[in-house]
Amino acid sequence: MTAIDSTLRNEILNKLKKRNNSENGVHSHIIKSHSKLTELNITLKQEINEVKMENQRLVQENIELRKSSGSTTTNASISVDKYQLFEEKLLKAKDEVIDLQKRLVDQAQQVISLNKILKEKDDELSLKEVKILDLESKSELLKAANKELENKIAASEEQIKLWKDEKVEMELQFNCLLQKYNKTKEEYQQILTASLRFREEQIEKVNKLNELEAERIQLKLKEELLKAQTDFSHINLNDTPMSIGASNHRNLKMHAYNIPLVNKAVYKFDCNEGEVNAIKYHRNGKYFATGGGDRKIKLWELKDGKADHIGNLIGSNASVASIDIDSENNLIAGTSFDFACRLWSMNDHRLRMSSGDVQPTHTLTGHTNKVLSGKFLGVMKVVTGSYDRTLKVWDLMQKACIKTLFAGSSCNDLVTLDSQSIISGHLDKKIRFWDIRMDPPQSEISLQGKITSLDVSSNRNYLLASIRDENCLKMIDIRMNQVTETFCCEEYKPGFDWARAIFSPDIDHQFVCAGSADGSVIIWNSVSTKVEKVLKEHNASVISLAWHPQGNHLITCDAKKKAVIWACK
Amino acid sequence: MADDKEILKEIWDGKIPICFKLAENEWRSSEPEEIYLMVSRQSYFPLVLEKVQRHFAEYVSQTKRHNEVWLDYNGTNLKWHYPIGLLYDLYANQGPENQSNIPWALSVHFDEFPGDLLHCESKEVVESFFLSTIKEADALKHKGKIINEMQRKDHLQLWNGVKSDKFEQFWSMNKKLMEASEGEGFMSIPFRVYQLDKPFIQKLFQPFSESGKKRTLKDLLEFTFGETISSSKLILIQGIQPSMDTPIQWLSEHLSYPDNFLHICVK
Repeated sequence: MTAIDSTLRNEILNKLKKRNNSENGVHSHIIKSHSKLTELNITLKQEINEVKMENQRLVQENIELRKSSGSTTTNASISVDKYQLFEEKLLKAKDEVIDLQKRLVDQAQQVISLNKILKEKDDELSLKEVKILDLESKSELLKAANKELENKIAASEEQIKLWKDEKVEMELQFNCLLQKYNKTKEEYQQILTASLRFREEQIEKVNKLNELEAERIQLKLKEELLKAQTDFSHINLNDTPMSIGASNHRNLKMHAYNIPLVNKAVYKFDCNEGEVNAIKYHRNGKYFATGGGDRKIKLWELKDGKADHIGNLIGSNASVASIDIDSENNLIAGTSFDFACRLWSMNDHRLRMSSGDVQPTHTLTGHTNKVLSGKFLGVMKVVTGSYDRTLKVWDLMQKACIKTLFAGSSCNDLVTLDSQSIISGHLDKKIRFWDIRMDPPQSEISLQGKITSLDVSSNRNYLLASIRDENCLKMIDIRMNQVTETFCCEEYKPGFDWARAIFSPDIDHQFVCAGSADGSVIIWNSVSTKVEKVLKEHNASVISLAWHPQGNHLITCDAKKKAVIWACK
Repeated sequence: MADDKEILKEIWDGKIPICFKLAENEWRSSEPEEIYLMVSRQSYFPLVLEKVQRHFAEYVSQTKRHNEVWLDYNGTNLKWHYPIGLLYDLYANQGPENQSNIPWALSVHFDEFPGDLLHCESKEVVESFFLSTIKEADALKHKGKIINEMQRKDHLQLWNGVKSDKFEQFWSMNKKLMEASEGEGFMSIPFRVYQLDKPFIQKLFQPFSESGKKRTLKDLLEFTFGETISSSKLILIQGIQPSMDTPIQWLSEHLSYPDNFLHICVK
C-alpha cells in the first residue's frame, strides 16, 4: 500500500463523503421520484389516448347504428302506398325473373347444340390430323428415299468419273505399250534379218568345209582303193576260184586260203572299260566300233597296224550289248542293257572335227528288258531282240515300233537275211525263223542248248549258232533248215550267254571262229570241222570277235577291256 | 497499490444530478418537459443520453429526431470524450462550499451540430477512446507492459465495468494497472491539468524525486506551472480539493478516473 499520512487520507475521505452528500444525497431521491412521476405521466397519457380513441370508435359505431336503424322510426301513414308500390315492383321483378329464366333455357340449349357441333368439328379435326400425320410420315419416307437415290446417283457418277479416268490412263498406257511393241518388233525384224544373214554365211562356210572334206575323203578313198586293189590282186593271184583244197597245197600256209589264217597278235589295246560285249567292223574296213560295260561305243580307226580312237558314242544308260553298222547310211545301232536301242549317225567330218562324244539321233524304247541284239533290217528299219521274249521291228522314219514278234523266250542274238527275214536264237534252245509280215515264226529249229550267238554267212546260205551248254557250234543250212556241221573243241566253252561266234567274211566262209571262256580264240575249218588254230593271248573270257571285211585280220575282245588284233605273219 | 477500498468506493459512487432541457429553438409545439437524471461522475455522456434522446424526440420535428444529440452548458459545447465528473468540475463546480449549480442544467440540441465538436456515432467509439486512454496511462506508468499483457477480454471487462457501473468488475482488472513497487511507484504519473479556455497540460512527472522522497501535489503543480500556485485558486480533483501535501503516487492510485488519468482542474 502506498504510504500516506492517515490524517491526509481521512481528510480526503471526509471531503469525498461531503461531496457525495451534497451532490448525490438529496438530489438522487428527488430525481428518482421525478423520473418516476414523468414515467407515470407518460403512461397515463398513453392510456388517455387509447381511451379517447376507443371512445371515438364507439361514438362512430353508435352513429352508424343510429343511421342504419334510422328508417324504423318513419311514419306509418306512408307505409301502405309504399307497400303497394313494393308489390308492383315485386311483380315486375318476378316477370323479369321468368323472362330471364326463359332466356337462360334458350341459351342453355344453344350451348348444348354448339357443344355438339364443336365435338363433331373436333372429331373431324382429329381425323384430319391423323391423315396429316400419315401423309407427313409418307412424305418423310419419300424424302428419305429421294435422298438415298440422290446419294446413289452421286456415288455412281463418281464411279463413272473414276472409270473414265482409269480408261484414259489405260489408253495412255496402251499407246505407250503399243509404241514399245512396235519398236521391239522392228528390232526383232532387224535381228531376224541379221541372224538370217549370219546363218547364210555359216551355211556357206559349212558347205565349203563339206566340199573340202568330200574332196579329201575322195582322195583317201582313191588311195585306199588303189591299196586294196593291189592287195586283192595279191590274194587273187594266189587262189583258184573258190577252191579251198587246191589253194591249200599250192601256197604257203597263209596263202593257201582265201583268208589268211591269222596266227599272231599284232596289237593289243584297251578298248572299253569293263567287258567288251560287242565289236563290229564298218564295211569299208576302216572303222570298227566297240561297245561294252562303260556304256559307250568307241569308234576306232586302224592305222599302221594300230587302232586309233576317233570318237565316242554316248547316250546309253547301261552296258552296250551289241552293235550293228549300216554302212550305206552311216548309222550305228547300239543296243544296251538299259532296254533301249540307240542309233548314232556316223558322218565322217563330224567325227574328224570333234573327236568327242556324239549323242544318239534316235532312241528306240519299248522293250521291257535287256536288249541283247539289234540289227538293221532292210532300209530304215531295225529289229531288236530282248530278254523280254519279244522281237521288235522299228521304223526309223517314224522312230517307232511297227511290229512286235512274240518269241516266248529271251532272245540272245538275231540276224537278218533280207528286208523281211529274221532269224533269232533264244534261251529255250530254239532258233526261230521269222517273216515280219507274219506273226508266228515261220519255223523253228530246236537244239541241245542255249543259243548264245547267231551269225549268217556272206552267201546267206548258212547260219552259225553257238550253243552254250553243249559247248559247240552248229552250222545250219538255212534253205533246208537242217544242221549240217558241228564244231567242237575241248577248250571251247562260251563264257557268256552272249559270247559270239562268226564266219570268216569270204564267200566260201572258210573259217569259223569263236572265243572261249578261258581266253583262247579257236578257229575251225568250216568244211572239215577241224580246229585249225587256237590262239591264246587273252587273259579273260573272249566275248566278241570281228573279222576284217577283207579278212586281213581279226579283232577279238574280252571281258577285261582288252582287244587284240590278230594278223597273219 | 490501490488498497484503500473505502476511498475507491466513495470515488466510484460519485454521482451528479443533471437537468436536461431541450434547447429553446428546437421546440416544435410546446415546452417540453425537463428531464432529470443522476449520472455517474466516472461515466461518459454518450452512455447516458439515450433516455434523454428518447424523451425529447417527440418534441422535436420529425426530421431531426434521429440526429446526433449534443449538449451545451451556458454556451459551452461539452466534449463527450471527457468524463462527466471532469466536465462538471471544470465548468460548473464552484467548490465544495457552493452548491449553486446542482442540479446541473444542460441544454440538449438536436440540430446544428457544432463544427468544433467530435461526432460520436456509437458507443464503440467511446469504448475505443477509453481503452486508448488507459493504454496511454499505462505506458506512462509501466512502459505499457501491464496493459499489453492483458487480453482483449480483460480490456472489455474494464470497459463493461464502466459502462454498467459495476465497481467490482472494474476494479478486479484495474488493480493490476495500479501496481507499483514499494518505494518506486510509477515511472511517471499520468495526469492532465485543465483550465478554463486553455488546452490541458500534460507533462512527465516522477512520483519520487531522485533522493527517493515522495512528491506531493504541490510539487506537481509547481512542476506543471513552473511557479507556486496561489491559494486562492481552486484545485479540484474528483470534485474535492485535496491537501497540497498529499503524495502524488497515492493520488494517482486512488483518485484517478477509470481511464487511469488524474484529471486536475485549476480554477
